[in-house]
Amino acid sequence: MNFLDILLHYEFLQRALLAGVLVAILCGMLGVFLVLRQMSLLGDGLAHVSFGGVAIGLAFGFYPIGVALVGSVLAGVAIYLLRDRGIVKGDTAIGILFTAGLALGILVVSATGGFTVNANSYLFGNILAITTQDLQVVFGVGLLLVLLVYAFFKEFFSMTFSEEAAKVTGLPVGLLNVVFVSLTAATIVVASRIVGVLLVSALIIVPAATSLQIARSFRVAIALSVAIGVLSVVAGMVLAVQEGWATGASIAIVAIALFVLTLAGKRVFREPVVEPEHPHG
Amino acid sequence: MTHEPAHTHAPNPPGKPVLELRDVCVNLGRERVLSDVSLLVREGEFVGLAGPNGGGKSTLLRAILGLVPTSCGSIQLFGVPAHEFRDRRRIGYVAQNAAHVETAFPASAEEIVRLGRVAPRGLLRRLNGEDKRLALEAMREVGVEKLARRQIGAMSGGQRQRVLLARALASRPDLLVLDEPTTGIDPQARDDFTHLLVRLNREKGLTTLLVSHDTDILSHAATRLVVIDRKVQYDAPIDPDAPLPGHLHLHDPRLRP
Repeated sequence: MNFLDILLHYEFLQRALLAGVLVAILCGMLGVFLVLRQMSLLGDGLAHVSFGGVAIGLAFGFYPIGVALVGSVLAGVAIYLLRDRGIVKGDTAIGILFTAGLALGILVVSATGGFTVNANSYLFGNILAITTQDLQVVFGVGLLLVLLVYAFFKEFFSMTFSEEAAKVTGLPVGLLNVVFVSLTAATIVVASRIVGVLLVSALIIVPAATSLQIARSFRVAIALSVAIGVLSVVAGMVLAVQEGWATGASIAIVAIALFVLTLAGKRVFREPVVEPEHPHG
Repeated sequence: MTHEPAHTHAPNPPGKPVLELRDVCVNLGRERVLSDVSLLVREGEFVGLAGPNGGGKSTLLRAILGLVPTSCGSIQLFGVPAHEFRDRRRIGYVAQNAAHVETAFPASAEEIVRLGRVAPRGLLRRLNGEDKRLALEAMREVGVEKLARRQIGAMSGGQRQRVLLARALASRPDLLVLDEPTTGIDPQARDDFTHLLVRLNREKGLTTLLVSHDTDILSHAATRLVVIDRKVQYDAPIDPDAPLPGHLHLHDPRLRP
């Protein structure tokens, strides 16, 4: 059976694909902001915090994605406040929260009987094996997040170009940063159900980095990043189903292959970018 | 102490106060960078802020814009205490080093100029036809409308600086604030940019506050010179018939109050 036949036969696969595409759209959008604001590490850090949340949820019988959502959003806001108040530098704040989340997760897992199959699926992601409830949450939260990013799009763009200039024009930069970090945290939790905590950067950073190699306007950068993310998820899932490969890794490999191809293509089709100083007059 | 511009150069009748500082001091960390700074800028003035490096002229600008807190004194913008001032679109700001924008930043000139409309339009509202029209108008004003689709990184420093000026103008400000806008751009582009600022001030009456160490720009563009070195060291109108020396020095006898 090829992928389309399998897809038509299995409803869970249709939902998985839909959730995957939604997550790719979300990560593609946020990724451009995160990479340009040099906050790519934030995604990685929050993914590990999210793992801590999942472990606590599993150990104490709470809904793992729920605990991870709350934990990651709180950690994201804590990182922002530590940085913004000048208590520590941004990367140090991420380092502290990220280790705290990871250590807490491992501690809880070890204290309650070691790594289970379940914890593994959160680390490496397997959308083909997640529950219907998870899928509904990923889909619902994902849709809400896409709408929120869209709602604050022009403000996020303004702050990405220059946070200082945005502040001078009267944008509530502090509040918008909290919204942005919370959105990122929630996205990471949702995305790690698809590709796993360890490969979440594959959907956040890689499509954005690929897009930024060639995009010349912000709108194009976002559209390309989303398109590359969606392509990576769809192609990765097809490969995973047809070849029996791990889903998260397949998606990541496709995304990275697209990045390498773009770099190579850019070298082949390179054009000059320097303009004459005074074309006007 | 507030120095009023001499009436021969001040707008006649004198404009309303746009910016008023009374005994302002600013600490950065434990160091007092500015103390007892008083300054009154009226509608239509073009005030050049000069002074030695580390003398606090950029810090003063940042305090006026609300980017650094003051530790004493008061700042009023358009007659309203700075901490209560909400009508931020009335201030257009071109930041220092703006010409050195990350060249890989994926944004067209048009997209950047439209950023000047983001805050005036308000949260949860999309930019509309009026915003796009005002952005285009601002681009025409500074002569970059033909570059609308070009990526910011693919422009010369001078062109980029004009785009950033257009962004500041897109909110239709009543006060234009610029921090070392001509650093790192070539002499011809610098002269063009200076003429543009002069035209905006003399023809459109745009009140301008310009921080620069470039006496050439200050003497050609400003109507009043304020020298800052921890305190206001000099504050007087610029006499167009007696231009400033090429290398204005803080200890120049002409700058003694």
